Amino acid sequence: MKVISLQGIEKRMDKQVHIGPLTFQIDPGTITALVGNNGAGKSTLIRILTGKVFPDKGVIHRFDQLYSENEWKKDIGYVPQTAIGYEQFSLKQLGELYQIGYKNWSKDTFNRLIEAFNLPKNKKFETLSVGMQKKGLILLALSHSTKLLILDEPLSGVDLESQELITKELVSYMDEDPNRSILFATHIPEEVKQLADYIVCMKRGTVTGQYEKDHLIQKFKRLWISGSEEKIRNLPGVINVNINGGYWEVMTEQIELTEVALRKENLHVISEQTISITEVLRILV
Amino acid sequence: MSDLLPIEIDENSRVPIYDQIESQVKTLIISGILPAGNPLPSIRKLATSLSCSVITTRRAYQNLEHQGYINTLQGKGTYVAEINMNKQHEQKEKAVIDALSRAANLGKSYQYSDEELVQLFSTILKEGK
Repeated sequence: MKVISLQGIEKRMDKQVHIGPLTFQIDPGTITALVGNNGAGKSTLIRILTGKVFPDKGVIHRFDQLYSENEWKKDIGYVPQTAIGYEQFSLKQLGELYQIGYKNWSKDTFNRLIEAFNLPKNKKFETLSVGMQKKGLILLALSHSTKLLILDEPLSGVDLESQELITKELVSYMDEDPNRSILFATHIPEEVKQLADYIVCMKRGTVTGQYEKDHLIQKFKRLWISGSEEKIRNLPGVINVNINGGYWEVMTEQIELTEVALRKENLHVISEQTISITEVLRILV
Repeated sequence: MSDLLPIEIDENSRVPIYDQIESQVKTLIISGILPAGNPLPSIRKLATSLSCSVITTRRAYQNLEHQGYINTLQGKGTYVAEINMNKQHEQKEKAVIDALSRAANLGKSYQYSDEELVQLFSTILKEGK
């Protein structure tokens, strides 16, 4: 079963902005981080997945199309980037509204999370801080039972203590049912490092790659090599070469391929360095 | 139950992360720090605490289960298995042999001779005293 499967999705937003083609999949039991610079199309992709925007082209399958639109919408929890439309309501009122909309609403979870997140029940949403609003939106999404949680920058603007609380709740969400999945958009490398199993990269409206996190990070290395420039520039996997003193400072995205060629060319590696997730993401997006 | 295990990932190491987890958990079990019946964190909790993916932690747990170190009970979690006391000695020895072989291979990949490696090893033993 695939939780989500996108095949060649395209959408023209206006004269300048065209999204797609988008192709990627989400497996049950996994957390996927969606990364890309501002304007790369992350929020549009999320709006397509949540059924708020219809694509012009391509095929989108949610839960292998086992459910009708009304059913899958209940199985997807959505945390938008901002609380537009919620300003005039208190969390108590929003809880009551959600209870009408979602038949699997859990009042117990709602009350437990209000306590845990330390949120005021009766204050209007617009009077809450950015971080509190974010916690409120996450709380609402977690209080009805879902199979997929989609979050648009869940931890941005949230203080450290609340980040830890939210992370803990997301982990519990995953632990409660091995078939649940999470997709979250983020700009924070540490968040990708701690939570994600897979990374989906977007650039200028298209998905440029989907990677398994640990595998991806281990493939990148910075090497210091002595030898002729021509040989070094032609090494497979090498994406950047700089001269540094008498040595070449080389970045590879395919360390295994590069190493085989290094041995064949008899080039000497003086030193090597692991690349941080921050740097890897900067290269990819 | 704590969600943490006293293990540490070396990101600079060429040993795959699942392998690092597997061998460190094995050591904890063989040395008795994690006794039989002790619950282990879920693959998701372990992945979050070590900042790796569940693909990695699942693979480590599957290998440990396959070798009889841990048991997973559907819906109940993962626990340290009973390991045979006679086998425990063998396993200790095997763990040491594995670690030494890895060290020897690393040394050879850096063109150290056997004599140099033996000398290094005895220096390390002396310094450890």
